[in-house]
Amino acid sequence: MTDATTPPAQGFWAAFWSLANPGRFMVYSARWLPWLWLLTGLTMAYGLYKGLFVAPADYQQGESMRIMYIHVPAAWLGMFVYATMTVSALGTLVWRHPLADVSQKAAAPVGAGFTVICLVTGSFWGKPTWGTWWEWDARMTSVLVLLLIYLGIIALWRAIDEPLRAARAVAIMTLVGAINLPIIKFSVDWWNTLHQPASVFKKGGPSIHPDMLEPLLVMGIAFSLLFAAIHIVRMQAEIIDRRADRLAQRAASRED
Amino acid sequence: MMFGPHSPYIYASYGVAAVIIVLLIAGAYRSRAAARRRLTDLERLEGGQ
Repeated sequence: MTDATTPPAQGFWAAFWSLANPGRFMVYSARWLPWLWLLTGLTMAYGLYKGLFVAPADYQQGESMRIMYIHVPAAWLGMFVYATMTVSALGTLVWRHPLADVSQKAAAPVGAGFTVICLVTGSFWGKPTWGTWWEWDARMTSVLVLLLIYLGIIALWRAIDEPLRAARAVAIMTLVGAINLPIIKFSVDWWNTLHQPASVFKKGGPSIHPDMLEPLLVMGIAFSLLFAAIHIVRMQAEIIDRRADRLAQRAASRED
Repeated sequence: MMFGPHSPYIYASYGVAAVIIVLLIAGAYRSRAAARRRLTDLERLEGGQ
């Protein structure tokens, strides 16, 4: 609580706490959402056009390399969404931010969706490139574990009725599961894997040709915007649902 | 085929990704619409009492 001697929060923290009010979040998000969808659509269309029709084919893999423009952004987002959920888990347990558990609950199915896209497209890319749909190597296995963690988190939300208890249990599970993120990232360095090592985020800069890197980064931005838009809609749904829950509880207590 | 012998893998990848993305978007809007309907019904009930 702020008293007369405490200076008001500035900059990022001021914005962080000003959006802590669900009512204010609903107003701002409704205003931003159409623009966010427009930006997502334009970025996605540009990225797809460049990736499918302008970028050159790979000298070794040929045209199958074009799967990279959805496989890699989906893999990034699968991990990024989990990182977002980890920050939200800290928001629930440490800062008690009123929207932290809403954000976490809304993000989990989206993260699971991106991880499924990553695994399926990786399999479709693996067959013509490696001659196999699947291999139990460290990278693929750790991404599969990420999917299982997402499914576990979604199941835990559904298993506990009381929202506060569910939020705390899920936050703890999310923090424990975060150990998998560095394992995914460094699996290709720590173990001998069929999956290739990092070619974009690595020491010494990207080793990928700029003509291929540009559409890849554009698709990465498009997927991030897509996540932001879906996440906001799911958060709105959760906030409205909780309002309805409170109203139902009030009506039930009056009847008692 | 547009992308040579690898076309089926490319079409399948983009197709699966498109279906999952559409499901995620539709799911989000469906749950928001359901929550709004529930809230409106409860408010109407509350107003009627």
